Amino acid sequence: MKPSRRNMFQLFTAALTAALPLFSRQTLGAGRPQSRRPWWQSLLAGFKHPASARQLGTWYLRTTPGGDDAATLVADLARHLCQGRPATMAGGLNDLPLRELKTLFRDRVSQDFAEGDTVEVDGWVLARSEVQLCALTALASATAGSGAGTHPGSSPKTAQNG
Amino acid sequence: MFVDARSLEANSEVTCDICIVGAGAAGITIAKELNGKPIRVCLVESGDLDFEQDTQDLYDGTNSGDRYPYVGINRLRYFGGTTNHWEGACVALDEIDFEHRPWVEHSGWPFNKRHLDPYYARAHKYLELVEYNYDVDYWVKKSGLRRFPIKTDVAHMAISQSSPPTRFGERYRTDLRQSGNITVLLNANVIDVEAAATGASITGLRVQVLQGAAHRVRARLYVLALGGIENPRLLLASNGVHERGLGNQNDLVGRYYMDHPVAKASIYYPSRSPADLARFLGPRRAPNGVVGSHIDLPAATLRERQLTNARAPFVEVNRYYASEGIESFHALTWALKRGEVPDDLWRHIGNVATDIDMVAEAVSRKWFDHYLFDSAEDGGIYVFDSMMEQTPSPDNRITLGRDRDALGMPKVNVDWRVTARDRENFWRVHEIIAREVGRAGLGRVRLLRDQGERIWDELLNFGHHHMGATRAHRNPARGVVDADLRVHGLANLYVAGSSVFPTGGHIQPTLTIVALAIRLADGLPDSLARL
Ligand SMILES: Cc1cc2nc3c(=O)[nH]c(=O)nc-3n(C[C@H](O)[C@H](O)[C@H](O)COP(=O)(O)OP(=O)(O)OC[C@H]3O[C@@H](n4cnc5c(N)ncnc54)[C@H](O)[C@@H]3O)c2cc1C
Repeated sequence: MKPSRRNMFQLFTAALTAALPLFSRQTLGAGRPQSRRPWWQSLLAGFKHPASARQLGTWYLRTTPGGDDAATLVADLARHLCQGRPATMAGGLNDLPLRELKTLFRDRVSQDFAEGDTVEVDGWVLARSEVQLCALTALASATAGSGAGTHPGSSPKTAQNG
Repeated sequence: MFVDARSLEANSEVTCDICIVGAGAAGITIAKELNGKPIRVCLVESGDLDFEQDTQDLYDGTNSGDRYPYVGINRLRYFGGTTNHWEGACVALDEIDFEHRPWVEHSGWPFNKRHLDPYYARAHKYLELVEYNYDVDYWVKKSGLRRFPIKTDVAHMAISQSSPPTRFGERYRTDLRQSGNITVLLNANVIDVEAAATGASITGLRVQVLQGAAHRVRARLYVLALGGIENPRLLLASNGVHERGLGNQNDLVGRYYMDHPVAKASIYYPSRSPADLARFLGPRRAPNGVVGSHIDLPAATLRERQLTNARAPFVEVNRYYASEGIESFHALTWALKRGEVPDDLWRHIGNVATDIDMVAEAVSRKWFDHYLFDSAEDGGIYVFDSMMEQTPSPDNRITLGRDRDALGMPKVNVDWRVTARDRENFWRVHEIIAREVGRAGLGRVRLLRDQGERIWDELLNFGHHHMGATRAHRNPARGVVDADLRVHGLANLYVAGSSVFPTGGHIQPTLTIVALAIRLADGLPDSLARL
């Protein structure tokens, strides 16, 4: 069943009181080191309501021609997150503790809004970073659903970008 | 003193120094200001002390253009006027509303906000409001209202106040009855303003009692305070000497008519708990009154992005209200009624299917008057029920129609539209607010663009604020009245009410109407002496 706007509402509300939009406290526990998965997968795993995120991501992908290449999306998002922070970029997002990754993402989302770098998806005015993450989750689930062996964004190239 | 015009002998002539026509917010304020002065004042009112249908029917008229409320019921035609059912929301216009804004055609008042401030302060007393102060910090301290944490250069929280609401007819009836220098003439319909043969001044008013006698009122100075639609109607209909009507030498009377379109254009899904939000958003009882809040855009944002003014008050709604299934159901039936296939047909069908419980709730409520699901009442969602400024347009217009009312006066036609630019402006304001809400981490906003054209049609609401059709401008080629609200070219005829507003901002007009009425009344003794 399609997630309703009420679910979207949960997605963008309760979690927002925590530092990182879209993510529950449990999943992104304070100070916990990142698991071995790539940085962006750690972020994906934090979605409070994955179905809503997937739905938003699907809407976005449908209306963004050429936006459905996971590797490009991951690279884009990494660059975007590390904008003005060359040291973070060089150090690699994978090595950041979760708390820092969380803060980085939250600040980026806020900055996107401040800069007007927003995307309208089905009327929702969303930060570009959060929409890209939603798109990644949609791609990830589509790939998983299709039974493809490798996850699109887990290529070594993408991970290094982080 | 109150006099019923029905008790006068036929063809009576009432004389006074100043005649005010219309006992609504504007007319009663002017009369009250002149109370006790050595000036004989006559306040001529069409209606009685209570509502009567025959008199109300004199307000009948037609609409053309976009969908617009029927003008026969939103105004009230008896003592106290439309304040007999107004809601009492009050705010002063913003400073920028008075300015000439190059990106808003025909904008600019003949004076600035600072000039009007002292009159606003006095108007607060008439409207039984708390002190004339709209500073957020002040009310945060004084009323316990918490500052909604949006405070940037881009969007901010603003304050409004609530009048009890003051019913002018009831509230000030005794003062006027006991006045030594004011006569209130009830059941007296002014049907013609008679100009001297020279065309440069007014000599009298023709007054007609419904199914009764005709009379005449003669004064040295006249003020029309009939409301934003009747002021232009009477000027246009008074064409005994000036063929096109009084003050209409430049074809301006009736043009530039404005209202405040009110659209529910976006939904705010907050990140705070409802209890927490109530502390920010709820109207708060201040000593002697109530203050509330909304979000609007500071002058710098309006200037930089070349926007007209708009506001976004928070209105809490429930799940039923925010249901996408019901929304889509309406969109489908709306399109079907017009024989069209809606854009996004499948999305709408999907919405109805996945939100079928709320659609069932709607059907049950409408057809069986029965509530099905308690969950429909779950709250915590807010609609930005947004009131917007209209750019003045000469094509938005009040004209006289062919039909006549029971007294033989031509009825009005209101041709009112929202321009494409104003619609676009409205979405831009909501985008800005949505971004600020996101930036501050307060939740997310969804713009209801998928309502399509319906938002400007069946979903559109109105302020019922009738503004602009006798606009003020120093230059007679661009305004009907001058900065003193005197009709250009007529020595002794003035206009009071929102019809003189050159622009209307995003605020309810009555506080400004009363402030302007006080300002006008202050000047009348001198104007009288100069005649
Ligand atoms: C439903 C509704 C809610 C509103 N809520 C608000 C609000 O919350 N805040 C706000 O600021 N404003 C509000 N308003 C608008 C407010 O009511 C008006 O701005 C205000 O009443 C206008 O005052 P006025 O004196 O110019 O006109 P009116 O109050 O309309 O008075 C005009 C008077 O002229 C008399 N008259 C008319 N024709 C003649 C004639 N030919 N001869 C003699 N007398 C005549 C009428 O009988 C009437 O008494 C609301 C309006 C409506 C309809």
